[in-house]
Amino acid sequence: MKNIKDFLEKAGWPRIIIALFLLTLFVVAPFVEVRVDASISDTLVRFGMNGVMVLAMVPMIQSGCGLNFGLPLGIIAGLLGAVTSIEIGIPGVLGILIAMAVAVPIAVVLGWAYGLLLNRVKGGEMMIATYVGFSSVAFMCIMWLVLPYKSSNMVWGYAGKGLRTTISVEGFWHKAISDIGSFHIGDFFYCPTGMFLFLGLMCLGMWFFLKTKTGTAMTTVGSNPEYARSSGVNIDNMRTISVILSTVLGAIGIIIYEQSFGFVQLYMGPFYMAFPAVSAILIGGASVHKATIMNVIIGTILFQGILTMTPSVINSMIQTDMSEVIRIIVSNGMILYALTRVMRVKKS
Amino acid sequence: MRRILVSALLLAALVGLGIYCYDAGRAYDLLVDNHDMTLGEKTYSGERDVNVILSKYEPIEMTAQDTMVSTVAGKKHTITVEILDENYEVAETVTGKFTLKDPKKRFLNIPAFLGKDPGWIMENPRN
Amino acid sequence: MTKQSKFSKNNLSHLLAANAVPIVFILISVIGIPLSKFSPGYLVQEMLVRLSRDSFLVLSLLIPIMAGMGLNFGMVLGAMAGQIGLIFISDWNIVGIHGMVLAMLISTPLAIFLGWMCGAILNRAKGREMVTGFILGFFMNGIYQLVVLYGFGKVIPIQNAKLVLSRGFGVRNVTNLEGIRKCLDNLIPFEISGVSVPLATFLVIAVFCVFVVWFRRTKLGQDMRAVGQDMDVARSAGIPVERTRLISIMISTVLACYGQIIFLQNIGTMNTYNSHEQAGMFAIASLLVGGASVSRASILNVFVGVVLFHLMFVVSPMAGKHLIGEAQLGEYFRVFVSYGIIAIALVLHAWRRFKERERSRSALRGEAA
Repeated sequence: MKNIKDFLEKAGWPRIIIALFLLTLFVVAPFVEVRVDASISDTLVRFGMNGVMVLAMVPMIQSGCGLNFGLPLGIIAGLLGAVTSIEIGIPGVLGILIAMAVAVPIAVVLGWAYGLLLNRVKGGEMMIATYVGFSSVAFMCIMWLVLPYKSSNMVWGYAGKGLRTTISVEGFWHKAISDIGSFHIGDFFYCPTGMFLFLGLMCLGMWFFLKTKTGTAMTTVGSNPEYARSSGVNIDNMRTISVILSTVLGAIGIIIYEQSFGFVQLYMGPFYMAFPAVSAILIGGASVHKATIMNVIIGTILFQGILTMTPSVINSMIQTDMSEVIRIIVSNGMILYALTRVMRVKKS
Repeated sequence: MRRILVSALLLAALVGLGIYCYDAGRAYDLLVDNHDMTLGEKTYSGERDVNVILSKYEPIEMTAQDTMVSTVAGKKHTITVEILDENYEVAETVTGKFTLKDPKKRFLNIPAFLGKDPGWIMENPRN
Repeated sequence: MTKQSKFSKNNLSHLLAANAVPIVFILISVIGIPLSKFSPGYLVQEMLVRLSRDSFLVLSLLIPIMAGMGLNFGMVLGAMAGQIGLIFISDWNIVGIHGMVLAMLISTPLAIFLGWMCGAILNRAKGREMVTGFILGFFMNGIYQLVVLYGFGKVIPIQNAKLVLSRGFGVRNVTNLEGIRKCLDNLIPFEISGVSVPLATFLVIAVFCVFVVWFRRTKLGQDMRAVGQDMDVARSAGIPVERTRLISIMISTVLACYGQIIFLQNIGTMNTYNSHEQAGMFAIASLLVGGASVSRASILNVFVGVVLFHLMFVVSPMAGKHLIGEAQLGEYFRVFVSYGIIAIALVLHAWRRFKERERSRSALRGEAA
């Protein structure tokens, strides 16, 4: 009995409620004519799609910079990489690698500048991150119109210049990574093994990094800054490294997302993209100060599970589309809970 | 004790204001009609052109045998009917007051009003 | 002591630095207005309308800033309460100024409740009020949609079928407010050389300004300023800090509710699911453009900000079109500026706060300043 109680307290009530809710949805599904295998497949695909971007949250949380609402900055770097890759026109995995090769240096530069900014505003990072993210997306809106891309797949037809809002990656690298080692079971079940392998690789890399000297220094900066300073660690450098890491993962993450989704979304597409990632990691049990790889995996599965199951099941049940509203309530409610939990931690 | 009393009075005043606004602001669609009308034994004819002015609203210009819709706010209104002659000048002005009571009676027959028939506000006879 | 003229170099540079943001916006306007080819008469009329329409919303932001709560992103909750009131009076077909007053009356209890909830949540997130208020706005948007898109028509009876979606429940995307359109603006008709002035609305705004000035002098107002300066010092002086912060948010939410109603009566139609979202963002951007900061804002900031922000807003698309040939560019430009200005204000505020903490920390350590 006590073990169960301990588990409940450690896991936290919101997480348990959400997990039970998801389980209920899966149980109810067959009774309302929703295919369970299609649902599981969808959930798995979305898990792979979003996993890296959720992983991007970990470095900044660990180093004490808070929740990275400025993820759009990394996403923009990724978009530039994707668009450049399509301009060059090489298909397949090579195309994706080119996209990443272009995106990562941009992400490093952007992350470095972003990190410098955040170091000067310790204590107000999250709000500033949000609006830096918003402003850069709005700024890029101007850029997408003006940048000299010429590929006919991407620019507006009659004017010949200015990128389109949505660009299809069909014929280039659609599912290029997802398809590696993938398999089908029946008509409805598709397992994108390649994406999982890639996500696993990234998670493994992060896990190793957190165990290195730099990684542990970064974590110490977040959990105990005074100790870190007295150990001779340069706090600002560690924070900047975490921001760069987070931005780079965001860039890689959006490319993985796009290859599965099939489209590159420019202009206002990335505007709100930080929020699902933030909610996911919080649902996974992370707090504003501490996050583990487990949080990423559990959180992404739970969050994407709810996103997949709610529309199909609830719509079949009560003939109404409530999915959007439930998504807003669950994801923002989760972030709210995490933000107001800070007090209790500080008090103890 | 005094604070509770004052708060209660204030609340009552606000509720009263709300009820007043509801009453005075509630809009009703009225049919203003200039057709011949027979009520009981009397028959009134709608042969003249008229301007009908309800409370402070814009005048409703009506020819003979005409029907117009008007939206008014509130239940109590004044009505001014300007009867026009062949040169479209105002020959006669008749004023009155009315209160909308029955929710089914939203049909205002002007000839009946001019004939001082008490049933000039009635249910729509064409339903 | 030599008598220096008031406009000595030091004073001037300090003045410039303290008011950098409005000055930049004045520059943008000076460049943009001739580019946009709008006539001065048109711009004056537009600004007059926007002043009357938006000032109330921006004024509602003043009190939380005074109490140290920063920018009240939670004012969206007040806007939602106001919109629900408007849905009701549209359903009951109440028109004119009576309709507007009734909408204000019935949405006040809801606004008070939402403000109380918002304040309570913000009190649990001390130090992170702005992010929390920001996210709370999104969260409540979900609840609002739950109620308005699914509850109205089913659980909450709606008589007027014109308001309801074709599926039988849920309010339509656009709620027609024709009944109360400009009811406050036109209450006292007034015109100067062809430019119509919404006198009644300005009177209401003036009354509100007087209220703000009076409020600052009351005990509650003084308490709020003390809490805004330093929570611990205020607490040791016996001020009920949590309760004071809560009240400041409640007042702000109710005022935002009225502000949104005034805003919508001018426009005449309500985007049931969108109108409130922009309310918060534009109001905050306007206030910051007027030279306010996260910790200090005055009535002057409000009016200067509304004029400058909306000048930029109106002028940008046309200026972009004539400059580069694409109106779209101008539109994106103004979105960028709106968000960018908030980002800059937040950065400046956090940077100043950070520098202060560093200074006090190094003073404690006994290092040289």
